[in-house]
Amino acid sequence: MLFLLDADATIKLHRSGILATVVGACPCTMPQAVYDEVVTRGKAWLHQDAEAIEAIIRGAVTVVPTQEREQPETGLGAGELGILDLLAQETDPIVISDDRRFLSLLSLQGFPFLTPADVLVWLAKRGVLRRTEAREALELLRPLIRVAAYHDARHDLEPGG
Amino acid sequence: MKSKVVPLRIPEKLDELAALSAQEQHTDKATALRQWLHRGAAQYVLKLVAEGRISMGRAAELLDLTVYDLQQQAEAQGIELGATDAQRRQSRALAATLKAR
Repeated sequence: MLFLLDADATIKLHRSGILATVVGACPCTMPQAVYDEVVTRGKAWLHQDAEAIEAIIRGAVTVVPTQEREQPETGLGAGELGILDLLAQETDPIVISDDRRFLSLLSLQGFPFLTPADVLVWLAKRGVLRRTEAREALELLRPLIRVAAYHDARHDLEPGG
Repeated sequence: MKSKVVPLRIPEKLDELAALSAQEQHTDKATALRQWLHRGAAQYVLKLVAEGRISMGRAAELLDLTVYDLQQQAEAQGIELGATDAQRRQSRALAATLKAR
């Protein structure tokens, strides 16, 4: 199993404080275009999270060079297109994304995906995170996800959920 | 970001408002109009993202912003972005099967 991270999900996992746990729990990969969106451009625009994310993913996430390309008709950016390229190469990949447009294409093509909230739940159910830690992380994630997604994750983190 | 000249006819009242805005912001009228245009474009693009018509990555490219900026703008404007209910069901189902892996 391998997680393929998109930019939005990477930032969300970081904001919830569990990015380091995720990359430690499962092999993670991102295309160069996602790295550039999150780290290179993030640092250039002085987003403090970008430096912290760079430190977490350095050595822990495989960054794969991909061909920079534009396909406006897909509605996807270079990062998501890079992930589509990687999906064809990787064994047992799971895309981590909360992007409606991207997920609709992944779903159509039959590729598996997890939202950041479900990654959190998965970590708790595997015992990598204690449920209290997972709930704290979920509260940090709350402003960035849909209300319904928050309530689903909250429910799934209850004992027996 | 590359720019191009677009001849634009605008109502006189809007022109007056742009002049007022420019005065308040210590800038020129063209800059004030560009700022309004960019703000409107950002709102429109966030709507497209929320509807699943374009991705966050594409939105950031179109606006020459970062994904961080878009997340912040969506949060500030109370715009909910994220997976649809059906997509969340798919994701939860996978998370449940991954438990043992």
